[in-house]
Amino acid sequence: MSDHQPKPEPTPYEPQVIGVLAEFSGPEELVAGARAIREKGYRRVEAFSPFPIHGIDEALAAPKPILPWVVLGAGLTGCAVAVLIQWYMNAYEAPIPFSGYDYNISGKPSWSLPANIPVTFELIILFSAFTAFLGMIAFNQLPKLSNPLLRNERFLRATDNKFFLLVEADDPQFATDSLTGAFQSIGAGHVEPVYDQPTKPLPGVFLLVGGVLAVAALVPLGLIAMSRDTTSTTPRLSIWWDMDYQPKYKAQTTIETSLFPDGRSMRLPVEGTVARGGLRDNPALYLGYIPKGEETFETSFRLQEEGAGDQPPESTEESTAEESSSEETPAEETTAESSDESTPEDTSTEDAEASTDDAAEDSTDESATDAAPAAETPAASQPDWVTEFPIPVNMDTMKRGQQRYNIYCSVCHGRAGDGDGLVHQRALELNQLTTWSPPTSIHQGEIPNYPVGRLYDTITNGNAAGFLENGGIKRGRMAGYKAQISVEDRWAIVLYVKALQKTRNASPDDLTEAELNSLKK
Amino acid sequence: MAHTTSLDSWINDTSERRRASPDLKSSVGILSLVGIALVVGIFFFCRSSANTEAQPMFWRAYLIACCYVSSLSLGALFFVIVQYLAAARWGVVLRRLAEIISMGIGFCGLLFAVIWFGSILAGSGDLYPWAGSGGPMSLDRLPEPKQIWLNPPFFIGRQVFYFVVWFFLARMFYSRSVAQDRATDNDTVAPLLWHSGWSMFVFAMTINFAAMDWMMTLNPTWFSTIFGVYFFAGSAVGIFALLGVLITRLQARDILTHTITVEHRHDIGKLLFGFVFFWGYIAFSQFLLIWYASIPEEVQWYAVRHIEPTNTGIGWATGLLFLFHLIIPFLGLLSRVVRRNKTALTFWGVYMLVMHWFDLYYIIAPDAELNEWNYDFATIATYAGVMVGVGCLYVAVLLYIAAGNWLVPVRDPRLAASLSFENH
Repeated sequence: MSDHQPKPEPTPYEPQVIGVLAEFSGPEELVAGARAIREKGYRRVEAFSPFPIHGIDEALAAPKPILPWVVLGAGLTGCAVAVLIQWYMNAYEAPIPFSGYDYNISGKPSWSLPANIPVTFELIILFSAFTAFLGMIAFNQLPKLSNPLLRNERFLRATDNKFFLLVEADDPQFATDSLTGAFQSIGAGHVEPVYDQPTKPLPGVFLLVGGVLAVAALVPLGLIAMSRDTTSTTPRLSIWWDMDYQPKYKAQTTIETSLFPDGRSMRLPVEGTVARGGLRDNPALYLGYIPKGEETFETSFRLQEEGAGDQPPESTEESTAEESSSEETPAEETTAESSDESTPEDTSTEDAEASTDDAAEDSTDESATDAAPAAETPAASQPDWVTEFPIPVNMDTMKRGQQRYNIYCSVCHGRAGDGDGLVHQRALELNQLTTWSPPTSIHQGEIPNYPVGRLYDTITNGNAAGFLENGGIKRGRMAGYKAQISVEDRWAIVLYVKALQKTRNASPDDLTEAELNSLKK
Repeated sequence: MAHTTSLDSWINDTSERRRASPDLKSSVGILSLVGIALVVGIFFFCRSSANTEAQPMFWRAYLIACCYVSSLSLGALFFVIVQYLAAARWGVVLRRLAEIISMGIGFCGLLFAVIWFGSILAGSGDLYPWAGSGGPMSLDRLPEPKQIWLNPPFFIGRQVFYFVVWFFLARMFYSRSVAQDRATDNDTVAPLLWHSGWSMFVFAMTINFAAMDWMMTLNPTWFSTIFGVYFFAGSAVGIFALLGVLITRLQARDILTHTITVEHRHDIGKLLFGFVFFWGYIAFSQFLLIWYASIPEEVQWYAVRHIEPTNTGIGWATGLLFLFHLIIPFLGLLSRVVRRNKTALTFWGVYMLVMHWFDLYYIIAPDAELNEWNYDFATIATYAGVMVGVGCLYVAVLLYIAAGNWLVPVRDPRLAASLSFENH
């Protein structure tokens, strides 16, 4: 405030009476006094004593606090918040901002109530405890830095050995004189009215210290922000080094100690055991052909698994001899299948034989001509292909096959199977005709007549470039997809390939009357 | 404050009965006969039954009943010891009732002796599979440490030790308290304030190991380190439920109507409420650690109790226990109004006594019964009949101890404070 304007004359402060204070000599007298003053009709009565007194609440007829109900509500809120927050973070995922993340942890269910109970319990306690504590402070109108009663010399002994009753000025019956008389008539010792005091502003030093502390509190945050945004040449601090460097071996590694004689960190299955889900006892399903002679399914499967797909699955000489007796022309297969299978899409047989664009493999095979020689190989040396689907043939399988085909196959073979996938188009754009061998069309040559087992084998192990005298298969350019696609999905793709092939070779006779009519409209 | 005056007026108050009638002994005989007839009758009925499952079922039912009455006496012993340990004044008027119940522990030892001689030493694997020979869990097939621990002489010797210790503790607290009734000026219970310290330690250790020996060894390959605390929590629930019922029943017969006030009943209700939740906390702690780690040798115990045969949800037994032993009584006892109401406290006391039995059933019952709901009349009659029979014997013993006794420590130096106790 500048000196030019004269200060207004301060009006003298008129103290307001806030209540009448009465002193009692002991706890029993206080309880009796409280009861008596209430009987005279006064309602706004407060008691002050150095220690809790039994019965004073009843004597004052203090209203029942609503805080317990507030705490109950807070506890229930904590319960609901905890359950919701855990559900949202662990079990809910949607394309919205700040979405939860439904993360699969070791195959455990995303939402499992027992695991969520401890957090729920803690949040109930947290909400209830904070509400009880803060509610107590709020209902008591704390913090109250100053109270006119504290300036009363006599009242200060309320913390020592004196007992007081105060009737507040907002009592409907309040009148200083009659109240004083009432107190004296019920045996109070000293009775006096209490006046409020002019309040003074907070001293500037409090503001200064508070401001300095607030700024100082930002320093650690600033240091953290700085270290997050700058680089350092010193190594990271390892507070819990035993968690950072754990004494354990990771999967697929070797170990230098003599823990295991073979030096592997992983153990092989125990001899004579089969891992869960590893029992492959159905050759039609897992191989696509029926092994012959002394060769068991087990040995042929092992050969196939260990030989990375390009070893002949059949190596015994006996099988060759037996195969020649079980001749089957492609035409016979076709008729057999069309009579057996219920879905019209499945009737024609072909092969989804093709080449991948893997340049490394190109150097070993003359792949451009792979498909044609394979088709011309005499059926005598071919394996005993499966001609019927070993999985249920229905619309779900077809949809699945379409989806898998479009993911894994269409990039080379094209969505319609013509061998004009995006990879092929890109190769043409890059003028790679000298090294690029185009993917096979699934509609060309003998491929539509291939048995389903042969298509399955092609997807599993790669296309057959020729059949060896010993019954083995010479593999062509296309790589096997058994690592990427599950057995059932491979069969589903075969089903879809069959459907694609049927689209080029269907007649109106394949349709029912109703379907024909619907097309005519 | 006004203790002296209130004590004087209490001594001159003749409107209530404070002493158990000596005539109680007359009903001891009938109760014992009914109890023995029921237990022995069911035993021979099960033995002669064509069903091979009947006899194991009898032994399970008998073990449940023995653990049930023992848990009440042990809970009472805990209540008595903790009164002295905390130098509590409020509970003096309730202490004699708990002391009488705790004295029943000696009889519980005799009940268990039937199992020792009738099942374990008889070489029968009906109850404890390791006690029989030839079974997949017979003693010689268990690991060596278990062979030592479950060796019948050692196993029974330990239990004899527990009962001797408990009876000694109960007797010490009871006899000094009764001696105070007759004393004129000296404070005979004063040394118990000091003795309560080591007594509580001994009590905690013995109840822990006893719970493992009685119930955990039913499946010798299973273990849970918190199991003793779980049994203790159930025992505390049992004794406070029993005290709540007992007080209101006694007061309905003009006994201790002024001595035990609504304030004391309120505190019993509070303790019951607190221990119901403590039981839930311990039960869930045991469950969560085992369920989460999912180690086969541990989780097998919950596999039959928690998971349905279809592996989809909570089994009926666990669901029932969770709902009716924790959630419903927690909400039911939450309100102060309920705990101060005689009828409500009686109801929840009876209710928790039933649920405490079901809790022990949940622990002890064979896996086959817990796996799916499959009960016929014979099964229910066996469990209920054995429990009622053992309960009759137990009550007979308690009546015998109580007959002619003061039901409140009339000359206890802290009695006046207890009489004028008020909750806030």
